[in-house]
Amino acid sequence: MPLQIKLQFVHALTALPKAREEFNKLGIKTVGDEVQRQIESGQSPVAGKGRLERYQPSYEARIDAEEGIMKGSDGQLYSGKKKRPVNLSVSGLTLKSQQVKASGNGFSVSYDGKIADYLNYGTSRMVARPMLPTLIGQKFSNTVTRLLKENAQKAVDTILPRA
Amino acid sequence: MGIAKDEVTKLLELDLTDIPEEDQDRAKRDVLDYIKEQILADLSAAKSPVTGKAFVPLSKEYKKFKETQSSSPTANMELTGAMLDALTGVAYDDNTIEVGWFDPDQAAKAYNHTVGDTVPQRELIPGPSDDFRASTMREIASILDNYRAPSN
Repeated sequence: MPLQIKLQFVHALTALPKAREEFNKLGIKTVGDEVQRQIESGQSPVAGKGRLERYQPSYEARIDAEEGIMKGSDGQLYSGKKKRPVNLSVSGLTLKSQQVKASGNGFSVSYDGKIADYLNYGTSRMVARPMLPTLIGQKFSNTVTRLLKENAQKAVDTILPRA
Repeated sequence: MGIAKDEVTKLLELDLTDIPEEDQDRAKRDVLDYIKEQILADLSAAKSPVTGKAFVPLSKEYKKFKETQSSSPTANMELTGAMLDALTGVAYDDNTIEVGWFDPDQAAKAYNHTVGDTVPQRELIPGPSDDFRASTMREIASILDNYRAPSN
C-alpha cells in the first residue's frame, strides 16, 4: 500500500467537468512538483511542520565516516549523501516513486515503498518527517494549498467566458 | 526586537478587523506558519524574502567548501542548518506577531547576512520600515480574509 493522500474537489471544479479536466492538465503535476521541491530542500509539505528534523547524530556520524557512501532503499550503495539539507534521499528512489493521479472527483499524491511509510510516520528509532498530510487534521502547507487554488482558478477561468 | 546582533526579528501588526475573537489566535498562528514557510522556501531558492531577488552567489572558494558539506551548494543559508532550524515566531496577545531569530547565537549569523557585515549582504528579514516581499504580504492578507465572516 503506497503512502497516499487523496484530495476531493469542491465547488466549481465538481460542478464543471471541463474545468476539472483543465485542472488535471494544468494543476496536478505542478502540485506534485512543489511537494517534491519542498522535501528536497529540507521542508515538510505538511502545514505547520516547517523544517524536516535534522538527522540523528549517529546517522550524521555514519555519513561522515562512510564519506557519503550510503546504502539506499534498494540495498545498493550510493555516493554523495550529505548531512544537509535533510532531503530524505540516498538513492532517490522513494522520492522518484511519487505519483500524482487524477481520481474520480479529485486527485491523489502517493509515494511507493515501505521506506515512505517509515519516513512519513517515523519508527521507534527514527522521528517522523512528514512527506504527505496523511493524518487526520493535517493539511498541505500554505504554498501547496495556494498553488492548488491558483490552478483551480485558472482552470475555471479557462472554460468560463469572461464578462 | 528588530535587527540587532542578538535578535533578528520582524514584528508585524495584523489587521484582525472583522475576524471573530475566537478565531484570532488561530489566524495569527496560520500567518506565522505561512511566513516561516515562505522565508524557508525563499531561502532554499537562494532568494531574499524581502526583495524577492536572487542572492549574490557564493564565491568560488566557499562554493567548493560547501560542496563537501551540502548537496545544495548555493546561497541557501544552510550549512549546518542550525540557523534555519532556529527560525521561529511568536503570536502575541494583541494583533501582533514576531518572526525571526531570537536565539542570540543564530541571530548573530542572521544579522551578519542581513546587514552584510563581513559577508555579502543577503537580506533575510525586513527591517522595521520594510515589509516582506509583495506576494508574501498579499498572501498574509488573503489568509486573514479567510477568517472574516462573509458580508453582503
